[in-house]
Amino acid sequence: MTVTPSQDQANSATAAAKTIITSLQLALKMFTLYAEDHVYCQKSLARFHSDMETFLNKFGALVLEVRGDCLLYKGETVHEGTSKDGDLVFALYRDGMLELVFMKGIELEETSFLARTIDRYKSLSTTAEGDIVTALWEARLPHLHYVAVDNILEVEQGKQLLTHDPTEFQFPELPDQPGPGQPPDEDQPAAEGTHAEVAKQIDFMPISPTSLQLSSEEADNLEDMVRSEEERDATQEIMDMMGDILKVQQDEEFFAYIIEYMLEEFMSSIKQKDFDIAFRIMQTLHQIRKLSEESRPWAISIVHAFFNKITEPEFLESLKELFPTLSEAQIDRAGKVLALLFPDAIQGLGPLLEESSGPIAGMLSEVLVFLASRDIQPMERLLNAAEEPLVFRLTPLLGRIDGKKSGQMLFQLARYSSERVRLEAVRAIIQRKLWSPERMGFLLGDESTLIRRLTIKFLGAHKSEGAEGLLAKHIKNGKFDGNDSGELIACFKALGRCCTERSLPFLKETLLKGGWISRFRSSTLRQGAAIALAEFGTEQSLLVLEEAARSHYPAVRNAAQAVYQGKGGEA
Amino acid sequence: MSLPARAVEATRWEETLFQNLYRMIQAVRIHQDNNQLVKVCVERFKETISKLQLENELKLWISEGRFFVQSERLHYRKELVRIVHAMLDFFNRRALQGVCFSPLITDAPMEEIVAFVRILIQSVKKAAPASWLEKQMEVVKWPWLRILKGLELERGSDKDLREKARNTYFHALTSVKDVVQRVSVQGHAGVRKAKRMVQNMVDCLSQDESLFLCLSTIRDYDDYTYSHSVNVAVLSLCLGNRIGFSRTSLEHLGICGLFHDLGKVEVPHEILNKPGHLTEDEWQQMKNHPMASVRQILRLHATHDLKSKIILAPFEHHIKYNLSGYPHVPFKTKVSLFGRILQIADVYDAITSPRAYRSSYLSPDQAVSFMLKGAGKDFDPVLLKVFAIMMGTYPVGTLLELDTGEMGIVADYPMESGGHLPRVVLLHKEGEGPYTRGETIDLSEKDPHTGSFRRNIVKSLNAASRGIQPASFLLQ
Repeated sequence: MTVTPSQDQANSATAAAKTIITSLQLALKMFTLYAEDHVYCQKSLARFHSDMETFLNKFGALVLEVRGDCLLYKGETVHEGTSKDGDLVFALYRDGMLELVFMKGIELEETSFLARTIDRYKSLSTTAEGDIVTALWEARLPHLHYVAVDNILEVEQGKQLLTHDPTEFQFPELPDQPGPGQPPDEDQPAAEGTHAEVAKQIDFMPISPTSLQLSSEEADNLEDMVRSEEERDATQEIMDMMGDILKVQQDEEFFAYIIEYMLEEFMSSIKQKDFDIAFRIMQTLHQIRKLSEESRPWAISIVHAFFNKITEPEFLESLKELFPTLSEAQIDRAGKVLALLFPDAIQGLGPLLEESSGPIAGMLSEVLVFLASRDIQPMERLLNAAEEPLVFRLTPLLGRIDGKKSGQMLFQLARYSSERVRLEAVRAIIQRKLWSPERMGFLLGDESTLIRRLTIKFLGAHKSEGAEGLLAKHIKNGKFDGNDSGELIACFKALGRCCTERSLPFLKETLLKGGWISRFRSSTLRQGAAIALAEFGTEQSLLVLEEAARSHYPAVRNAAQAVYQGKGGEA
Repeated sequence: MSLPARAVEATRWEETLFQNLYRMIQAVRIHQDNNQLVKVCVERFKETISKLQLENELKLWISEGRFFVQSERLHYRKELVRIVHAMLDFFNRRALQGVCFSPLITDAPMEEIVAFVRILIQSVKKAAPASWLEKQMEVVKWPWLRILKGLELERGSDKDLREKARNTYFHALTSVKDVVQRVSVQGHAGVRKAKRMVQNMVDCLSQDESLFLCLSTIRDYDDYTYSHSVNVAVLSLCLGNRIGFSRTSLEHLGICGLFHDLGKVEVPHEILNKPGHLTEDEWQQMKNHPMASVRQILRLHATHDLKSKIILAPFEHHIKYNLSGYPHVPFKTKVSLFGRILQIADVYDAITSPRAYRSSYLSPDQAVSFMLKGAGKDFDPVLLKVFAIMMGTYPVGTLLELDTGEMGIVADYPMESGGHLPRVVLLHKEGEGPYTRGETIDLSEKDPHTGSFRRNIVKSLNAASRGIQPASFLLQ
């Protein structure tokens, strides 16, 4: 049999069309195996496009007809499909596609879009919002056209697809005269409103075309309206509408639908860094919660479910990736949103603090303090469960939270195994001026010099028999570093500041007689006692100092004179 | 010259070019080749182009339903909106994507330019106008001209278009019913089919606005709620298209139209169709339907993104421009643009629709006239003006009594008449028999002897009260 040049050309075109479908199939296969940006996917898309370009340059436009079980090119089958969900032909046929037309000049983006679209919609749930046809319609690709059935319903009913719909639309018949009706009472509206009733009484004037001419101001307004409508984000208005509905809603199911919608919007607005929307949503829901307190207990539980959802650590954890991308203004707005969470959010927000620094850490600290001030229990639970690094970051915050409980927690943390945590706890205690000498005695024996010195200084802050007893006892029995007299002197100084007449004999004896002390540290003790007496500053204590200054013993005299000369003090 | 001034200047020459092209087409359509006005118009058109001192060809073309000059979208003053729409319609009817004039046009003989315009005008009568035009161009081989052919498969013949329009309406109706039934029975529904239908509607609109608008005249006593929904979608899409919405926005607006009354599934049938007055309780239930529409839209199987685009307008469609109406929205300051469009479309369809139990409905022209009284209170005044311009003095579907004693239905306002006088489908009736479709006549047609119009409008008539379904004649 002889093959004519035109037949040869036709055979080549069919073969090339088959190659294109194979490339497309390969690209679809790659999508199932790899991520879209994977090199294999990219290569397969490039191949698909290159095969397509080759065809179009050689043979002109490619028109693929879609049949139930195959794709045709000029009546020749170029690909056989299966009737399985996920199959290329099946997907195209199911969506009512009749023809796909590829034109010369097609770009890689266009062929890739098609492949991605088929991949996305090849398996369609019954509740899908779109399909291959809707996606192509929306994309309106310049070199890829399609013909699809007008009525997708018939495809679903299994009817054979035809270009023209055979169903004849029958116009509804109207009776010659309208049915009987009573003239409506103006006070009572009819079903679809009152316009028609009112209109009956109007004298109709012919419309003057000039009266309809838009003024240039109106024309500008219209243009602005359209532009802003196309550009605007209506979320705020929608949320306001939702808020209005929630305020009056008595239907629990509807209420729950709206809350669910608002939850999605909240999540999405956070993702898009639109914290103003998120703030408004939360503010609205707090209002609704208050409004519902007496009348709608069921509403409160639904609103609570919303807050519980956004309080979950899984959600809050997702903020970690967002934070580094925020500007300072956004950080500030994010803080306002987070401050509206339930205090339980501390459990999720606290861990974020551990890895934060700079303005984010500052914002998180503020939020945690704010939330814990409303309810300290989540903070307590978190501290009990947290590892040392987090406890270290949270402890200073307790210094900014008023209340008995936070104080108790600080004193507990002052016993924490880690020195830096204890130090932060002591600092927080001092910052909050939590005066409780009886609970601080143990700190005088802390292994950290800094903690001991801070404690000693703090104990000397007020006249207090408790502190006086602690310090006196510590001076007598405490273990001090023999090479460092500073701490001992500090104890005396603090004792002098907090003591009562009760300590006078002890100080007098220490300075003048040194009876109880060993020679090993006698000069330091005398010096300390002299300082304490000076700090005590009563008539009696100063008399003792004067007596010491006149002492026959040079060591006693020197200790007192050093105080007078301002030389005594902590090292 | 400062930049803003240049921008203004640029706008002016594009507008001038556009206006002169339009006037030239109009003049050639009405007059003989040697008419003085034709000569003036052609000269002006050539002059505009020669002033541009072109080095390359000048491309005037359509993309996404918008005119472009070279690669820039044509920005125009709104005073020109009618001309631009007429030209869009003119190009679309000929499946013409654009025309390119080379610098040689300044030397082109006037006869050639007039002949080109005449070919352009005649092409509409051909089955495949753009292909025919292309062939004509191959024959004449004018070096100063190149035409850009659009996709003819998108248009087809007038008969095809009418059939497609009918089917589009019918399918949209079916998809609304489908969603409503699913929502009623299963409590939820998908939107894929409705989306497909709206996309078809947008396509139909972009092919032939008048024909598409015609669909809004379909009335149905039995399935009022469904046909009302589709009619509102049709009217909203036309208005949205007129004010320049993108295809994507039109898609969303169309879905809003289809679903704006979805909440009525919660209102008992007896209330929806109750003759006469509603009790206070019934009225409350009725007033609840915009809120119920929100509920039903939330129950649709759609992405959050789509829901956010289609949920607001159905809620607002009974809130008037001055924020009265219902539902009561104490904190609202403004109704959205979609909401204001739906409101106009909703009221227009409601007051022009006959109902089995109600005699008080208006003819289309009466309805527009009535609604204009509510401008600024009930309706956005600017939008309403655009709506009234779009509908014309006698909106498409209006039944007219002519001074010849004939009756006809307004079909469209073709560019030929400058958009002021409609084309009308005449109706015939023999004895007690039904009305039948007669020829389509142009009311701008003049008697060559007297110079006066052949037919004049006496008044509009109420079509439904005569049992006339205008669309059934217009879409035959």
